[in-house]
Amino acid sequence: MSQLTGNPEPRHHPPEEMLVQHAAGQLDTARRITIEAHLGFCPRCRTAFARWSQPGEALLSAFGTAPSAGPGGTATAELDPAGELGDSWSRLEAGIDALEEEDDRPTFAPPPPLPPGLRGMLPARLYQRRWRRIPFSTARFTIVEHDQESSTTLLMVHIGPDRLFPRHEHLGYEDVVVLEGAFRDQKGLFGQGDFQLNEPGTMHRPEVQPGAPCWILSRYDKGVRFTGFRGWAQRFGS
Amino acid sequence: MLEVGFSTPSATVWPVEKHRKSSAREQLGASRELDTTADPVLLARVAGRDRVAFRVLHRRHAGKVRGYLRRVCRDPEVAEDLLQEVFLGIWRQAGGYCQERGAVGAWIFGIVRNKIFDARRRGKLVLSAMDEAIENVEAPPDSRRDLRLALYQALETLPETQRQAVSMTYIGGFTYDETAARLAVPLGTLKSRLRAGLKHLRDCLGVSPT
Repeated sequence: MSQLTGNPEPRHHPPEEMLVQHAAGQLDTARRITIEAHLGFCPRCRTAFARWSQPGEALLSAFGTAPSAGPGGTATAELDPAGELGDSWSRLEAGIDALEEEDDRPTFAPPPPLPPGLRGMLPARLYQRRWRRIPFSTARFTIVEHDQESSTTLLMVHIGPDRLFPRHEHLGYEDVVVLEGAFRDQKGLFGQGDFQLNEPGTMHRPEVQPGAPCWILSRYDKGVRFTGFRGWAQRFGS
Repeated sequence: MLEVGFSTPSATVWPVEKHRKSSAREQLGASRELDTTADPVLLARVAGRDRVAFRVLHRRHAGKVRGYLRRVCRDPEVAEDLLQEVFLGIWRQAGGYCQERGAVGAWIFGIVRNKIFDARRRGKLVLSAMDEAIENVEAPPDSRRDLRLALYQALETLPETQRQAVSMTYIGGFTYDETAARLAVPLGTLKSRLRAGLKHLRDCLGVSPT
């Protein structure tokens, strides 16, 4: 039982290699968000991640002096000889003033609980974006991020309690993090904070558990193919 | 916004004056009182939108972040823009820090690395040559001299292949793909080298999560 949330701690975790990649700053925005969402719920992975990211403090301290302007120069950033940090602070305050308020909410349901700090990684006015329905399903989704270069997309998805998400096949990789509620598929039961990595070719039909809706973040790189009549409708509509 | 009731970074969370923008003089005076406050406590106050605490955190870390960015980025103006992005990121994500995640400096470095990666992806950032970035470092003041020496020793004792991987990706800001291409090694090999190199650095520097 988590001391932090009162819910069971996550039982499904991302591969450690992803934590290394995150520590090295090598993740695209969408995967960064799914990993941070999981870290927000998972003390075990937070500790593991800290081990990989700790050299960063030494690097920042050791290399964090401005290069000299010329031979014999002694300028260091920390001494701030030109008073540039004051200018930087003024500019930063203007940037903070310009940040949009983030306390919006979807029209159809209360928003999911988010780990602290995660909201700051998501776009402003997220819940006021267009929410679409999966055809012939009650599931709704909105696009959180889309990166054309890597063809990765991050969705936030809401599925009602005791409902099925239509059977589909993954054409590439998919990360799923459960923000609220739980679903079950052939890989097991996935509750709050759990991380599911689906390989290309994975076919599943997640079934949301009774009692609460399921909110997830889903990051995929090559999309999904629905089966049955939804697949026909998907191909017809494309 | 409904957020999960996670614990805060420190047992000591001081009353936070939310959203009030005080005058520059007030801020500066108040921030002096926080000069000896520990980073995790400051960050907890920043999560509560305390600008005075944020100013102290900025004063404490902005010089290091800027110095690092100037070393890595070829264009100082881009480095300055990234400095702003880093601190806006700290402001927005401060609630995500907790002590299980290690030192605040390491957490900040993570944000720095992500901003560099994003700028690279947008084609906005030209990196310095690694030799320029890592060598020619000014003698750092006092306490950091030993740290830098330890870091150099740790880097020097790395096998050459691991040192290249760590220098280019972890320190220098190159992406995995770029680094693998430059070193002419498969992506999986690069990942293994980086992982082994980071583990070596971690062991040599004797750091452990706080």
